Amino acid sequence: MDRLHCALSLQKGAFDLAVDLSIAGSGVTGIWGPNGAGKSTLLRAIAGLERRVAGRIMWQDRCWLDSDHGVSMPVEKRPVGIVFQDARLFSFTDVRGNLEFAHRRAFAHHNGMPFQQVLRTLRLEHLLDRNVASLSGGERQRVAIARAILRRPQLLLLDEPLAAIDVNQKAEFVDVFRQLTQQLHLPVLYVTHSLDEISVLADELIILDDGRVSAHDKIQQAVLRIDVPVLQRRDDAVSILDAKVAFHDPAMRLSHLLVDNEPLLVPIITAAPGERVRLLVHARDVALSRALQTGLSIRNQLPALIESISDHPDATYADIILSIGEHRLTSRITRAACRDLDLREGDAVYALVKSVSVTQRHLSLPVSF
Amino acid sequence: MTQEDWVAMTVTVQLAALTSAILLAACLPLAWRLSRSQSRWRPVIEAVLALPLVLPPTVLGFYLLVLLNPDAFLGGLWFTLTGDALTFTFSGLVIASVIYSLPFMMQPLLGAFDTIEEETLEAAASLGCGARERFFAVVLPTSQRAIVAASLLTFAHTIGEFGVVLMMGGNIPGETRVISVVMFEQVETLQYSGAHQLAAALLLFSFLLLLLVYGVYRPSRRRAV
Repeated sequence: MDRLHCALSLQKGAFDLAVDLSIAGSGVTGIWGPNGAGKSTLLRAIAGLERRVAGRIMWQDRCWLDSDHGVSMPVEKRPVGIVFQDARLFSFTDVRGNLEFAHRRAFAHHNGMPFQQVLRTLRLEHLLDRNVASLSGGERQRVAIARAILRRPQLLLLDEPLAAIDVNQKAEFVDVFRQLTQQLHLPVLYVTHSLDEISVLADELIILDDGRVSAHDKIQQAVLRIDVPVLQRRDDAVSILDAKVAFHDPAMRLSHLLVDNEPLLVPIITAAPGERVRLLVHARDVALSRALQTGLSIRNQLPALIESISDHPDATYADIILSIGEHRLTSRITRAACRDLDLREGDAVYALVKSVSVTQRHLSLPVSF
Repeated sequence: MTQEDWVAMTVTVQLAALTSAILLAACLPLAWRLSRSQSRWRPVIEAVLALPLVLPPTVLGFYLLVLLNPDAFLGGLWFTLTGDALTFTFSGLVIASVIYSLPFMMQPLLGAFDTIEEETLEAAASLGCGARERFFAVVLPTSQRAIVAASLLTFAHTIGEFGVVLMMGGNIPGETRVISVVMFEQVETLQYSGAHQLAAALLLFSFLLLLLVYGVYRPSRRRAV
């Protein structure tokens, strides 16, 4: 498959970035890390917006950068679409003008989405004649994405697109964005500092810390990497499960999902039976039990095997990674509980799941129960 | 107004129009280069370009006379090339006006260009615009109000030119005799009614032009978002 290869380094004051990555030529790859990790700088280097980048960038069989041979394709020649954190719409024209600006300069060699379909997917039809200064944060970013796509790039780069959007509009944005990536078949690089946000969107995850790549894996695996210091430092470890909708129980307002053939109940969702949904589970919402519990309000008890225990002598909590078939689930319990239950790797336990976030194809909302 | 007045008026308008056109063509790229420059020489260049703003027109006219007369190097060069002198001719007046009105074109353009953020240009680059296209497709449309205002101000300021013209051009009908010189002459010869007419006409014209400038060039509330 076509991939983006980049082996590059760059010095910016005291900060230096040095990465060697081979990024998937399809799907959404998240770039996540703490502030100052170099996420945006990496994205800008790939786009061609950073000066003095050393190394090589290859996209398919085209060379974008080869500093040893003095090759550096300028940003306007690279087939990338960029969505900036601050949208950067042109103020001299309206929404339509911004979109047509990109459409007129579209790459010819790539099959893109027609103008009207971009408008429809990003819900922009009614905004066309609006002045860009009058748009809300969410509207601005939708216009910015439409503008980037109308350029018909081969690679879409997003730099914290949700940073300037209020909470209420985030869900809509995520929803629209997921529909878009499914229709576009365009590889996407998505920079964010929010693990929740990227969990519902990405297929792969690159974890960046202080200018270095500390993990690059399928997102379900990457979020479990307890050897990665930035993940260790977080106080809310997460895991991602892919589930299938089994059936709905409208009377009880519940949907029955299957995680590797184990039933999991969530508040009713709209996805049809048979559809796949993604679940985001915070480790602190997963308790462990040696035996199947009765007389308990928690409905979800998944049989699991303990795969590994991360247990620091100077920490209050221990993170337990469980395997449920091919899925992995993290549970955060106190070290005292871990000792009292005498939990060991390989033990069979029940994971008591108190809460999950469900992301459907057309809907993304956190739910608690 | 007399036939003479009309001739002077035509010379004045031609001079102002030509000066504005030359300055617009020269200052657009110059101001853009300067506004993107991070050179430590920028303040020096800006100061030099703003000199005509504060220099007495007679001083400017005097230096131009010294530099451009056919016996001087520059004036001599021009004379050899074209067979024409630069002092007491329309061509010389155009050169003088270009220098005299330079800040009136330069300042509004610089002001507008300075507000264009690098981020906006990066966005344009990411949409396929090379440096040239960024200037024509983004910078110019973003600055159109300032461009119109700068042109009008330059035109108006050139119309009102007096001291430099007197030093450099003298008072040759149909060649260098501009409206302000005509009026000065009328006052000198106590023809107050003619002076009144011209003064009123210039006053009205200047006011209307400035009204147009301020109508077009409101402080911009629209910003890059």
